[in-house]
Amino acid sequence: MKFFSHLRYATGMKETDMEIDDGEMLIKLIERLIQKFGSNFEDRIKDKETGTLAPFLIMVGQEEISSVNGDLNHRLSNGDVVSLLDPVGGG
Amino acid sequence: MWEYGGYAGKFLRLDMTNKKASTVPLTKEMARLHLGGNGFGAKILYNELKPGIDPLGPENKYVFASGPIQGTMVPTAGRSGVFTKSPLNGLFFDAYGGGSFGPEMKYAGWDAVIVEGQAESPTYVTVYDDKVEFKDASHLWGKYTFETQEIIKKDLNEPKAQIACIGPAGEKLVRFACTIWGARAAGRGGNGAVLGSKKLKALVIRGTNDVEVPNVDEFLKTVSEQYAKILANPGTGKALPSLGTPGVTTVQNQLGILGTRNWQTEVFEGTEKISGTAMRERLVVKDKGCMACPIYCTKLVHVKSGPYAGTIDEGPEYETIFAFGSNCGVDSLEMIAKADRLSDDIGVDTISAGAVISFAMECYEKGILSKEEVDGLDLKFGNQEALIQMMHKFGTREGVGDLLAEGAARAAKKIGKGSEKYAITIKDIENAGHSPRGMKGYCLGMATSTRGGSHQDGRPTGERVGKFDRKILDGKPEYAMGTQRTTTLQDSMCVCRMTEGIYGLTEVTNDHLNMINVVTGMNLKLPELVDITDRIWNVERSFNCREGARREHDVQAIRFMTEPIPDGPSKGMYSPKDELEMLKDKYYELRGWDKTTGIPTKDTLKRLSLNKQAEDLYK
Repeated sequence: MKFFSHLRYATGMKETDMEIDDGEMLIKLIERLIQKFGSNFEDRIKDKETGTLAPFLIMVGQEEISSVNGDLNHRLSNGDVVSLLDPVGGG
Repeated sequence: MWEYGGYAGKFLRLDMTNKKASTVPLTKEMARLHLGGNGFGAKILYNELKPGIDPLGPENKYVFASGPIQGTMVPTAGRSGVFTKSPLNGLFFDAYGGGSFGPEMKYAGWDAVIVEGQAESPTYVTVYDDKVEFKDASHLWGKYTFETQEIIKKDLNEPKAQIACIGPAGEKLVRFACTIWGARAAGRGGNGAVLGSKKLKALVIRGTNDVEVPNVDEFLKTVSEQYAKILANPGTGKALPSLGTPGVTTVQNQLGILGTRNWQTEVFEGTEKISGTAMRERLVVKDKGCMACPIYCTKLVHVKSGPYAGTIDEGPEYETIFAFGSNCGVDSLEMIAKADRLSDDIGVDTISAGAVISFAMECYEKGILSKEEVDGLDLKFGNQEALIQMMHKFGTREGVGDLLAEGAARAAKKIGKGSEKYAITIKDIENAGHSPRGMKGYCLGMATSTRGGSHQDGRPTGERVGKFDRKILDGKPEYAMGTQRTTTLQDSMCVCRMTEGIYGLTEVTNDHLNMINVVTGMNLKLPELVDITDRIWNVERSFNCREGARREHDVQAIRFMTEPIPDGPSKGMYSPKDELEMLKDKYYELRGWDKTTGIPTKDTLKRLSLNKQAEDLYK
């Protein structure tokens, strides 16, 4: 796992290894991350009013998957590098 | 209350030539058809400027304008805009800044201030409600912007006055000089040079009036809902308060769309050193917010050690980190903070200043500019000391500073030797820190925009956060028009781009509508609001067409149309001209513009009640 921008605050790290079941779905990994890092992490990727994921990009290797209209059922393999980018507008 | 809530109901006209002030009543029709901000700026400049005039001559005008919500607690209503014919490209240009200058203008009883003519000697103007005075500014001429504001506040014993001013760059007519109020900049397009040409060093405003709304309870309910949304959203409630806009630096690099070394590539090896996280850990001493904003995305920084020790700076923002950092090959946040502070002091736009320097660096490394021609500086990418020396030269126009103060496009024409392809400009405006090569919708939005190389019309956010696939062409004409509609509306309301994900990213929404109606009591319907945005956009377009802009000007920088990104996650992406032309066909159709010329059709103009524009463009 690689974290960027303010997600590094919520996790306290730039990257970490996660054990996964071969073929685990991406959405399952995100749910496990929320369990692992708690509400401070959840509030940084989910809208607190609606409870839905904010729009942001997730990269699995070089493949970009949208949190709002991408394939969150994407099956992961051991050795995949998953990057969580930043749900921020402006700039 | 005036006819509608939120408005003061009048404009102030300042005749710098004769040192006279007069009042122009705001009409109901003007408010209802053009709303405020860019709507007022575009309408005034279209009606009052003759085509072909010199942007730095007495015939040009400079408009400060707010919208109906300024002075209220609508989130991010601290913002306001400035409007003029740009000295960089001779086209309509609008620039905006946060802080609280716009609200103070409203409290003084003015929706806009129109500056015209040209004073014989340096002047500053004070506006205390209805009382206007023209004062000698000889003692302020040559002073940096912060010092100027401090002197004026002390002289007038007005510590709470809001002061918009220029620095030495504006006085020297640097074509990318800006206007500063507090530590905020209305940065782009060279508006500071227009004030310099008029010898208006500063406009001082203090007001004591209220801003009224029709129903306070309804207003508070609507506004409270928006505050709750902002705080619940991860972007505005967490990310921006933590890191500010610099938070996107690592994201851009991870996607391979971070302009680097004058856009020769879009991956920067030093990104971690100039990231928002690094800035927070090493330099940030305080979070700061603009008036009526809960986001607090401004980061006050203090450099405590090294060659730039002692630098205190409000910022830098992401755009500045890109402009002086990756795009100049610099991985020192401390130097970036120093260059940012110098930009504010001297009064230049950080994006254009950085872009002009990166252009010169590439010319130097390729042997197009010799060491002698850059005043003996070793102007290689990454040379921090040379970059800071170049910044000082903008304030004095000394040596090569005089050439580069003209902006990258003009400088390239003077230099020749094939340097034009290294001037990364769109409509002669230096490109901001987002990648037209790496985002297809943003690319089209920029190319067709009024402001050219600005990131404020075509927007990168929808593609960067994955709401829209940045790599495909399908739906991108609709995306470009949708984002332009929302930016046009945001700029007529004068609200901040940070809220684009809250109020509406690619379409005019009921959130926009409700805020306008609850402040003004206009009771607009959604289609009317969409028409307002299209009307404003078409006035801006008509202004530019009257100056000669056509379809062939809606293009990207040469590099973006001819050189694929050479490496990184976006390797191979670019915007070939035939692809852009195909997208433009569809875009013009959606806009109701003539596909051959790019001019709005007569039918489009008449549908939007722009009869004068129809007469002018179809004589």
